[in-house]
Amino acid sequence: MNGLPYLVAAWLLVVGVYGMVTSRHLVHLVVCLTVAQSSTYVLLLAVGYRDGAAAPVFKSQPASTPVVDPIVQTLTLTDVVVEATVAALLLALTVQVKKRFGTVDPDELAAMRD
Amino acid sequence: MTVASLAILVPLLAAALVAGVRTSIGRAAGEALAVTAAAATAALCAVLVVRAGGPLDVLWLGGWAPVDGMPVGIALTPDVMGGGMALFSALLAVVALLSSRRLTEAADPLFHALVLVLLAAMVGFCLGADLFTLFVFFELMSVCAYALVALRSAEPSPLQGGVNFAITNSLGAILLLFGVGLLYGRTGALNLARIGDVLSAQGPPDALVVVAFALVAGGLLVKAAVVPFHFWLADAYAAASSPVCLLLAGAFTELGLFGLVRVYWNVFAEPFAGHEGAVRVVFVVLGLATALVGAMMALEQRHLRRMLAFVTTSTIGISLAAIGLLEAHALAGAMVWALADGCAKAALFVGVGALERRFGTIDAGELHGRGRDMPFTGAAFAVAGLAIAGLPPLGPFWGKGLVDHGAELVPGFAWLPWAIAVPSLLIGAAVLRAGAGIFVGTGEPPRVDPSTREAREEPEPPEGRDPILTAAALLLTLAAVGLGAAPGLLDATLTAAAAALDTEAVHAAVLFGAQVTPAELGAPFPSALAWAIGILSACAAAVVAWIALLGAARSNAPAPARSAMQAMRDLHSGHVGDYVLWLAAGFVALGGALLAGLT
Repeated sequence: MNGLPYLVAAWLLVVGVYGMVTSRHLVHLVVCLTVAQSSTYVLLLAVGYRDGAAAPVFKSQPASTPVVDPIVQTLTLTDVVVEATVAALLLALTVQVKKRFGTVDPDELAAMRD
Repeated sequence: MTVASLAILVPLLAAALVAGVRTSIGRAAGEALAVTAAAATAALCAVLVVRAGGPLDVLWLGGWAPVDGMPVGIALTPDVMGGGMALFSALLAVVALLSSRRLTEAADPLFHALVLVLLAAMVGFCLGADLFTLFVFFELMSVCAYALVALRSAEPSPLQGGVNFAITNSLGAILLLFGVGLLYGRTGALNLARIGDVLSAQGPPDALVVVAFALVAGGLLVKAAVVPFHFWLADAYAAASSPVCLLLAGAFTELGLFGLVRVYWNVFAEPFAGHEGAVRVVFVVLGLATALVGAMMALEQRHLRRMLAFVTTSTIGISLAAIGLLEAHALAGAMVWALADGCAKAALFVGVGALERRFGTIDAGELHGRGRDMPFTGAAFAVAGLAIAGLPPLGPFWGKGLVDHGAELVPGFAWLPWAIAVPSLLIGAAVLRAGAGIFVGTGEPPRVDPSTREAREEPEPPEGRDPILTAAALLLTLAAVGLGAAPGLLDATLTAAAAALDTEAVHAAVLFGAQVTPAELGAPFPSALAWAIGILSACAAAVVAWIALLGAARSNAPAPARSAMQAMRDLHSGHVGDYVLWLAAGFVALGGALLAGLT
């Protein structure tokens, strides 16, 4: 186990945030948000990883087998579900924005604010 | 024991029911069902609060209690503080549901279902005792809030407010989860008490623990809308309908601070022992900055809901400064203040909703003098404004009195009561000015920008006054006013705050099932200084409101002050990319300040 996954997690977070700051398109913005979110998946999985360990399923292996941490895997799954909800909601809002205002550029939307 | 799980399950199942049968039973029946479910949740939370007077009654879901202090299961800890916040949220949800038919144009039955899911998530957040449970309920309530804000999507601002709200808060949640991941990696635990025990056994905090704290605290502060994470709040509240606003301003935003209290005292108080000074400085400075920025922006606003949004930001800042003292009296004061001023803000949002329903606009300039025949709503504005400014003996004053007492007990912070009085008099002035202009017609009407007037559709024909909304606004104002007189409330809050701050007792109860009954404390009577500050700041609020109404401040203000205000207005651009940049910068600054102070 080396530090690479942690570097990847930090990198994903930074590029995701950078993309959000500079985004000119709401769909691009939502995708950048999911990129930032995937940093947490990598981080959580890296935290629970053990070298040479098996998957945490004991059906076909003795209970003493070293396995990776199942808790972080369930956390990641829950996290994926949460993120899917948020992304779906944001994309639905984007569709509404496009329908009503004919633009998906946050700049133009900000200018429209009353 | 199961009351705690029922308090989460009842609104959640009722939400599914309301959403499922909404087409077949009609709107009125759906509303009745939703109100009943929210009221039942409130009753369950009330039971939790009453029971929580004794030893902490920890509920391990599925019976997975810890063995030898090693928790694997998921715990709910219904203490007085958490149960009380849940109860307050449930009561506000009842008010929001009851007033929704009168205050929302888009009669969407899904509104009720969303409010119920939001309520379930808020209750779960109040009771949760491990980081991941907190995160999941935090996200659930956020998603409901995004949808509720964007629901009224007939005009541009709701969608834009909803998008900004969802993007910034999701990023905050991501960073919070990043912190949770780091803490799990370090301690192998998610239970708050267990993480705290493992961390304090590892000795003084290192950089990783401090960064994890900054990420978790920052994520919660995004929700609480603390400077510089506050930009989403005004956009979202200005866009949302009044019932949604009163729920969000009264409970949702406060829960960010509640989460911070939970996490700080259950996890970090012991490992950070000896470094309280640095933590204090960081949170008090953040709180005061938030309070001041919110207050100055509130004075600037003509759009009434946007004004109330900045009032909310400012009150959150005051609460954070009080909590940041890390002292039981100040924490209890922050809780009383949050309750009393949550009621006052709810009354104001209902009042604004009544104005919007009647005149079809909530622009202070267009409404100028038109509320002369609404004396009761006007009275609610006046009293709520004075209460927020801290006039004794109205409800918020008692919270301030406790905070003042706490500030005297913390060396070096005796000046804090004066510093808190400034923003509270400014937001009181903002409310009083709006009230005097609309309901009395004092002063010149603010100039109406012709471009916005043309862009807006013709105002709908005025409807009659609505007695139910007036009554609701008055009742909420009375609740804000009379809260300090509620027998035993101050003592019970102080006892609850001291219990929440007693990290060792909470850990023993959660991890080893210890039965510790918290000692009963008596709240001190506010000092003469607190009374003096309260009266002074209420008078000053009236004076500032008067000056602002006469328009003297704007034309006579020195050029630097005007350009500073203009710069601050420009910062609140509504551009989501800017908000994300501020958020990222805020996290870096928070992490840097904590690293410098703690390692």
